[in-house]
Amino acid sequence: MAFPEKVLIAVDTSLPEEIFSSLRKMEWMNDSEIHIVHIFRILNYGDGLSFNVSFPFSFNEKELSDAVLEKMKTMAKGFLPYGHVGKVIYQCLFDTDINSKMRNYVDQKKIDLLIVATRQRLGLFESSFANDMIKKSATNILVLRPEK
Amino acid sequence: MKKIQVVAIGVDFKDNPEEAWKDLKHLEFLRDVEIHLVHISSFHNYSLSENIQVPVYPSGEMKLVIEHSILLKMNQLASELLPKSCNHPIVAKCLFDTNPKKSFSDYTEKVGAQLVILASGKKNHLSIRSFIQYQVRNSKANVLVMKSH
Repeated sequence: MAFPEKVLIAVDTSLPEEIFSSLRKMEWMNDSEIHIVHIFRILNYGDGLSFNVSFPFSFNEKELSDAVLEKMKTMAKGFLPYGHVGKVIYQCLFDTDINSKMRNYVDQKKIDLLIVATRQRLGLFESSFANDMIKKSATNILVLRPEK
Repeated sequence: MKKIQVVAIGVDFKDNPEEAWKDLKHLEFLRDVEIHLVHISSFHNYSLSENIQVPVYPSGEMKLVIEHSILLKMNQLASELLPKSCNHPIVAKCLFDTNPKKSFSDYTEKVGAQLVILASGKKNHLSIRSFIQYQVRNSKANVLVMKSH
């Protein structure tokens, strides 16, 4: 059995691209199906009854999604392992709760390895996303640290 | 950007690591890297100052016994869970420290590990969860957390 069969790279487009560069030499993923996923957080404003506004507006989602997919494809050229021959799937999703959306995606697609990147240590607010995935996700997780 | 040459695997026996590590043997690249299996035992020092001699636990003799049994267990674990026929010798280490988290992090840095592998059970012991969080926050290397399925 090949491992990992399915890899998910959680991409935050605000992170510097170099953070993913160590993936370049992880040739052990050459045959894996790689899902490159970005999740937009939907912000809800309102009282939940009479007044509700969500951002991004639903009519903007297509436009945002296209832009993010384009950005991810460009980024992926710089971090997919050398000689990768497996399938690559790009996804841009929208949800109010990005952590649970990501965990659901991981479960649904039967991902064997989830890859998340973290910035340098930033005190209390240091990568709550990565920590949440480590605590609650059922799959293996690779946390990428910035190269020094 | 270096290819992975040194990998440190943190070993703890509290949370049924065999279950979490069943995917390790499929990581083919581990055949070609230097692997350090590291277990850090807590070392309790009750002295209040350097001048006051008070007992420490485990004591010198007890440390040797613990170290011996841990190394045996780690070697057994290595033969069962790592890919067969690794091209490098596997280094098994049992260290004692009052601060296991920091000690492990320092060790991985000292040996120049580019990847740290840790196991995580379904219901993690609090100390293991905190150990993993510490490594993710402080490690200079990438951290792979293997989960029990």
